Amino acid sequence: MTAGPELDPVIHAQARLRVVATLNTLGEGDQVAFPALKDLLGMTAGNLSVHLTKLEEAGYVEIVKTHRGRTPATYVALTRQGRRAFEDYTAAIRKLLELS
Amino acid sequence: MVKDEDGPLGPAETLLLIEQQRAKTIWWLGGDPLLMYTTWGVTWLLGFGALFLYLGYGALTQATALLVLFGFMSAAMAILVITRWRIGGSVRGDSADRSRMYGFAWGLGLACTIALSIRLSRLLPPPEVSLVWAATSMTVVAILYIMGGLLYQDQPMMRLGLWVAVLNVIGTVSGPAPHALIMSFGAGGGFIVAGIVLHRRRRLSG
Repeated sequence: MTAGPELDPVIHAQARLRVVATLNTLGEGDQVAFPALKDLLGMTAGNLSVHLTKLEEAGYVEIVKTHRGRTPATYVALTRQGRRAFEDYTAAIRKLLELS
Repeated sequence: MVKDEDGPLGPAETLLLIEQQRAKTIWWLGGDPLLMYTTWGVTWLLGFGALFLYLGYGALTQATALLVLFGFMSAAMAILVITRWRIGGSVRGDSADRSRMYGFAWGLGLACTIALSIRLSRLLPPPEVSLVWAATSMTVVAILYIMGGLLYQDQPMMRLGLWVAVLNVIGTVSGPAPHALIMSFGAGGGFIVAGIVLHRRRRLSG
């Protein structure tokens, strides 16, 4: 077996990969509301929060807590570092596919 | 503690997962083509169909025909605005700002059309009045679909705008009744087919 490129363990988990793939589809600098992201991914709020915390710790996502009128609202965005990490990850996966 | 879901995926499955999630997000951002295109298709098929019945056969009064057309167009606009508003409320940033401006362009474009048509209606014979209303509103639709295609990098949207623009030119040159017929079957039929085909294609890829 040939040694392939290393895969980013933060993104490699299926749930977080889906989170990052979704955020990467939005335009650069765009933020999505937490409930919309939760529905889009079909995850529970608790599950998504845990994954977002891990991504935030890695510097891949930015979580913005704000207000819409009087209602608290949370928005999530992919950071520039997160976007680059996702690009590197997909490049590594494509390389693995060529090697296999 | 949250598990990291299932076992590790192979490279091919991983790329498929990424593509599926991307397609799902694009669908969510842009709205279901069945809703976004087929709604307009039905609007024009029936609205311009009514206008053709008035112009070609005198089967309806002009007021009824224009009421049917603009009634359906208002309903289709409302669906478009509600869908965009739902998305706009969940996304903020540069692209949301661009979408808001694009929404204003629709409203203002159609307002200009209505103002111009009301002004010219007093000066023209009845069949030409129908053509002014129909051709100017479809000019705004064609231009804004082309602009929307460029804005959202959505090729089908841009092509549909070009299709309406070409039909609008041919119809306007041909006269009021042919314009209504071309718009009913060409633009209406085209948008219905496009909506169904794109809906099926996205379902298969998602």
